[in-house]
Formats: sequence, C-alpha cells, structure tokens
Amino acid sequence: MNGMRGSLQRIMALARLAVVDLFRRRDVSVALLLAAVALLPLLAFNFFGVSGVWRYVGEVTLLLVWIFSIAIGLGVAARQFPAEFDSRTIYPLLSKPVRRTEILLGKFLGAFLATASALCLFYVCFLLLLLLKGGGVDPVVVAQAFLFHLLFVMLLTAMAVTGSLILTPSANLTVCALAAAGMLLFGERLAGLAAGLPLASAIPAWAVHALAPHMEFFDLRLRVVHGWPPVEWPASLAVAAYALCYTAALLLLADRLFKRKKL
Amino acid sequence: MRPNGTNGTLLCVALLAASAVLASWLGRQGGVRGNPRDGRQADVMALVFGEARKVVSGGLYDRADLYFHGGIQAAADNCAEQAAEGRGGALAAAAAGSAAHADEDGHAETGLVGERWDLWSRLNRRIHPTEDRHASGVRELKEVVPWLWAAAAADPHNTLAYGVGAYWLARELGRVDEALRFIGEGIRNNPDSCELEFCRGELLYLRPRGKRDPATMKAFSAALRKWTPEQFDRQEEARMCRRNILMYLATLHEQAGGHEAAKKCLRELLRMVPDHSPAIRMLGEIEAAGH
Amino acid sequence: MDAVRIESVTKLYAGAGRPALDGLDLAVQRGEVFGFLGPNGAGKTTTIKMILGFFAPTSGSVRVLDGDPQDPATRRRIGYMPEVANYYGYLSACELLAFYGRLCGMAPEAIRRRSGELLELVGLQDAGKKPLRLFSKGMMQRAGIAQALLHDPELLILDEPLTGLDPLARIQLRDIIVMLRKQGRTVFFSSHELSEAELICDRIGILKDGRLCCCGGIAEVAGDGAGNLERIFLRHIQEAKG
Ligand SMILES: Nc1ncnc2c1ncn2[C@@H]1O[C@H](COP(=O)(O)OP(=O)(O)O)[C@@H](O)[C@H]1O
Ligand SMILES: [Mg+2]
Repeated sequence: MNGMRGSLQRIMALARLAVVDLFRRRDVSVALLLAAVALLPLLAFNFFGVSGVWRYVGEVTLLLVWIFSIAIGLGVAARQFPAEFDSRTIYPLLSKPVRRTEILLGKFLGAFLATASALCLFYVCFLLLLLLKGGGVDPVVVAQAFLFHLLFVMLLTAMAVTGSLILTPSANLTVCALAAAGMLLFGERLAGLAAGLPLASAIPAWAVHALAPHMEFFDLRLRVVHGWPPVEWPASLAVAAYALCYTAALLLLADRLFKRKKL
Repeated sequence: MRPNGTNGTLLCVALLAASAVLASWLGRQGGVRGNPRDGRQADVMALVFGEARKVVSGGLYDRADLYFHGGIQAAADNCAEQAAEGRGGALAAAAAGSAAHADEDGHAETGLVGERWDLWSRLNRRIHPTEDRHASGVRELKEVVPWLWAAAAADPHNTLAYGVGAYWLARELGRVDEALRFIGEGIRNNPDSCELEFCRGELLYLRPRGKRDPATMKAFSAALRKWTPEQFDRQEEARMCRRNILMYLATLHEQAGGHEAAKKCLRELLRMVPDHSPAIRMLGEIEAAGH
Repeated sequence: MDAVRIESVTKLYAGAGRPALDGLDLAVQRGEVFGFLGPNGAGKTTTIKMILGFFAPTSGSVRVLDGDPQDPATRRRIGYMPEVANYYGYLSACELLAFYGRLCGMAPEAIRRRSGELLELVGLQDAGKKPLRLFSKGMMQRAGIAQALLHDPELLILDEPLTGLDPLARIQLRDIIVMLRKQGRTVFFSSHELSEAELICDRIGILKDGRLCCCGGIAEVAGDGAGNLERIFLRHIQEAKG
C-alpha cells in the first residue's frame, strides 16, 4: 500500500536525522576515547605472569559499554523533542505532510537506531579486546547479550522520549537514569525486598516490582563474562515480548501526549 | 542545543556513577571484611583514607570471591554462614582447604504474592544463572587472581588478599615463586602479621626440598614469634593458627635433628589440645627413639 | 474558490484571560498575494498556526484549499516559513532540503533538481554544503524560504518573512513573490512592515486584538499615494483602541 510506504519513508527520514545528529556530535567518539583511556592500563597489566586472564577486562569493558549505552541512549532520546521545541524547528516540521504519530515514531526510531549503531561499535570493540586478551567467549552468548542489550536500548529510548513530553529535560534525564540504573542494580532483589517489608510499605514495593521496567532482564553480562550457557528460548522470547509490550505501551502514551502538546 | 546535549550526557554519567557507588555501598552490607586490626593509623587523614581504601579493597576481594562462584553471589550472604566459613567467606574457606562449603539455594521466599504468580522473579531466575558453581581448572581459577592483586594493591593491609592470593598462585596455578614474592610483599607491608608469615612457611614447606630449607623453619619461627591473639577475629582461629604453627615447627625440628626443640613444640601443643593425636603419636615416636 | 476560509474563529489559549482571536472572519482568494497586517500580539501567528493545523480553533471553522488543515494531504499543498527561522544546525542546506523533500514524499531526483534551483533562487548556491549552524540570521531566513518552496506548494504562508533580511534580500523576496503570483500561486504573509506590504499585496487585512478591523484591496484601503497605508493602519489601530 502506498500510504504505508510513504509513512515508512517519512518515519525513516526523521529517524535518519537523529543518527546523523549523534554521529556529528562526536558523542560516540568521546565515549570510545574515554573507554580506551579506562581500559588501556587494565590491558597492560600482567598479573604474576599468568597469561590468558581476560574476565576482568571483559567485565570492566561490558560495564563501560552499558554505562555508555545508557548515557548515549538517554542523551539522544531525551533531547529529540526538547531540541525541536527549543529551536522551534517543530513548526516547519509540523507544516510538512506528516502525522504526529509519524513524527513520534520517527523520533523514537531515530534515538533507538542512533544508540543501536553506537552499541554495535561498542560490541565490536569489546570483541576485538577479547581477541587481544585471548578470552574464550561463547559467540552464541555474546550474540544473545547484544540482542538483549538492543531490547534494553529500545525500552530506554522509548522511556526517555515519552518522559521528554511530560518532564523538563533535566528531570526526565534524572528519572530515566535513576530508573535504569536502579532497576539494573536492584530490579532482581525487588521481590525479595517487598516480601520482607511490613504490609504498608510492601504494597508500594510490590507495585514498583510489578510495573517498573525490569531493565535487569536485558543484562546478560554475567553469562558472557563467566561463561554460562545462553538463556533458553522460551525465556528469551518472554524477555523480547516484555520489551516490545512495554515499549509499545510507552509509545502509545507518548503519542497521546504529543498530540495534546501545546504549540 | 549542543551544550545542552553534552550536559545531559555528563549528567547521566555522573548520576550513574553516583548510583553505582551507592549501590555497591548498600549492596555490601557486610561492611569491610579486610583487616579489622589496624591500630597504627594515628592521624585523621590516614584514618579517612584508610577507611576508603579498606572499603575498596574489601569490594575487590568480594569480587574475587564472586569470580570463584561463577559471578554469582554465594548463598553465604547471611552473617551466620559467613562466620561458619571463617574470615573472608567461601574463597578463604576454599583456600584453607575446607572442602565442606554449605550451599543453599539463594532463593528469596516471595511471601505475599508467592513465587507462582511473580512472573518477573521467575523470569529473572531463568535469565540470570543461580546454580551454585565453583571455579575449577586453571582456565577458570586464574581469573580470580587479578581481583586479589587489586584488593592487595588497594589496601596493603588487607592480609587476607595476600594470603588467599598466594594460595591460588601456588596451589592452583603452580606459580610458587610468584606466590612467595607476593606474600613477601604482604609481609613487608604487614610486618606483624602472623598469618602471612605462616602462609609463607606453608608455601616454602610445599616446595620440593622445602622441608630441608632453613628458610621454612625461619618463616614458621617468625610466625610463632608474631603470633598474638588480637590479630585474629576469633579466639578459636588464633588457637588453631598457633596449633598449626607448632605442628609444622615440630616436624621441621625433628627432621633437622633438633629433637629437644621438637619436643618443646609438641608439649606446648599438647598443653593447648591434650588429645591432639598426631602430636601424641609424634612425641611418642621421638621418645621411643630415645631422644 | 478560496485558498483560505476562516469563519468566526475564536482561539482561547489555555490560561489566557482574553482570546487571541475573537470571531475572526477571513477569506483569501486563490492566486492573490494577501498581506496580513497587525501590531505585535494581534494574533497573526495564531491565525497562521491554525491555517497549518497545528491546533484547532476553540470555535469556528478553518478551511484551507478546500481541505481540512489537520489532514496531511492538505499540508502537502502548503509551503510555510515560520516567524523564527531556525533549522537543524548539524545539517547542511542541501541536507535540510533533502530531509524536508523526503517528508513531502518527493523523489530523490526531484529533490536534487529542486534544491539546486531554489538555493540559486535564494542566493545560497555557494553555501549549500555548509552546516546551518554557521549560517547568519539572514542566510537562515533564505534557507527558510527555500524549504517553504521546495515541494512547489499552491499556497505559501510566510510569517513575518521580512524581519532579519537585508535590503537586497528583501528585493529578492519581493521578486520571488511576484514570480509566484505570475505562476498563479497564493501567497499569504503576515507583516508589520507596511511599506513593503503596500508594494506587493493585492489585498490586505489589518488585525488588532484578534479582530479584523479592515480588509480589502490595497487600492480601496490605502488609496494610491505611497505611504498612505501607514496612516490608514495607525488610524484603524487607534480606532480599535478607542
Ligand atoms: N502559546 C500561547 N499561550 C498563551 N497565549 C499565547 C500563546 N501564543 C500566543 N499567545 C497570545 O496570543 C496573542 C496573539 O499572539 P500572536 O498570534 O503570536 O501575535 P502576533 O503573531 O500577531 O504578534 C498574544 O496576546 C499572545 O500573548
Ligand atoms: Mg507573530
């Protein structure tokens, strides 16, 4: 159908904008440079002449990959709409034959694709580093970890794009960063925590556990670094479904918000 | 536009760093497992930085423990179990050769809702490995070493890191010389530590012809000299250490022909533990031989 | 057939005491150049935003080119240059036009050809590859004109197009408008630059406090003496006040 194709073309045109923006800002190169500065001394170490020790490098590298993916994902996604409004480029944009929903999807997809391309770069660097250190990782686990990470980026960018339509940019960044970091670190323990609380405080804890985005689902660093087998198919599919549903819900909300946005 | 974006990114990184620090701080409720005795840090600066270093060092040591367990927090999260394993948790327990390591599944009971309905927790259990696993084989065991090195580098008074590190190097990775160098560094940094001296003695003892090396005897003698009950967390540990030193010394003296010295050690040992059968047997043998 | 038909439109911004537009009736015929005049805060931009479908009027109806302005198909036939010209600073002028062209569903070949022509027309042919963040205000404004004309719209809406342009650029813009009129396009522009309006408009409307206080052919409103419009404008504004 022509309408669909046109729609897709417009969404992709909008998405390309975010990717071009990210890579022209050199945020990614700065991240890579920082990572290199952090990792070079680590790589140079030789512990007691024991060769082939790589897991600590793998762990630190993946940690950096995660931190940078969050920073870049949030940075890109959270500035999509505020930048349009601040510079008033939203007006010529809206005057073109695009639907608001297309703009929203384009912005989200742009943030996602921009971060995902940066992520590809990061994982390639990670693999090169492991090659250098003689690390033996299961390629299936790494591929899975990468895909899960992409799902994470999708959810994160959807969250930041939605947040940018309700909150001020700094509040949005704070909320999203805290939610992402908090859930990555404590998401798994939330249920246990809620179980141990007295009823009055357990209810909010359960609510957070039930509703907050469980970012820790997407974090397979442990499996990569410590040589565990890949996650089994049913669980992988469940995680993908979770990410897709959550993202879809956020985007539906964002669509509502954007259509109501005062201009 | 441009400065905004950069600020945002910076803010994010800062926030993340802050929350990571906070998390690791909260996550390690156990506190510092490093070296509890350290009365020497007199001035405030040293005290403050000393504390920070201890925290970092303790965290790095925990990391080593984690690596030993395939990256998973061992079930020994609660204090009681930790106590049972002695200072330093499972890693130290393994280092001390105690194979018995009580393992429970760390499943948190989910009370109110119940595991059945808590989909997220069930999913988490499938995503994140929970089975208990111990590192085995050189390929895995050597991964522990960098963290022990780092723990010692972060806090040179973390005697546990030195001791356990030397153990891994010597026993599991076969690098006795590196281990001795490492423990030597530990002793230089902690000249009063009985444990490190004892550890060095054991390493020397295990070398080929180590039993005839006068350095071995010197190390155990130094350990005995440096032994004070205050160095240990628990009384029982202190006594255990002294017993072991005495037994090693008795063996070494006996081999070198120092029967009187050997008997002296054995008698002290028997005063501490009257029914210590190897000591009784050995003393009997020496006396039977007419010395 | 009207290019723009606004019927008893009222627009009340949330939280504002008085309406920005108050029972506005306005019709712009096809093929004419319409000058939408009025002091600051009269409601010109508000009217234009409704013509473009950015929001619906609180009451009344707006029809553009016989279509609903909220419908993207209607907007495909409108070119718009906003009041404050600001475009993506990380793109070059060529890339900007390519982006907007794609949004309008233009073929890549058409975009390339058209961008070349338009950059030439607005005098940016040598700056096509330069990132927009290095553009001066006037250059940005020219890029704005180019993007408004890119998809060859039937109706061109310019919100205060003259501010920030040097005299040469004004003359060029005037020439462009004259050319568009010759091609039978409709031009709707808002301004408070009366002398300029007098030169190029077929008809004008004067807006004050959200009400149209005068509308008609330039000859009817201003007579034929140059500079008359200024007097007329002042008189209408003061009448509206009193
Ligand atoms: N987003 C808005 N919210 C509230 N009031 C607004 C908004 N935009 C414009 N106004 C008010 O509406 C009136 C008309 O504004 P505008 O259409 O921008 O005037 P003009 O373009 O003629 O200078 C002004 O009083 C202005 O303060
Ligand atoms: Mg205006």
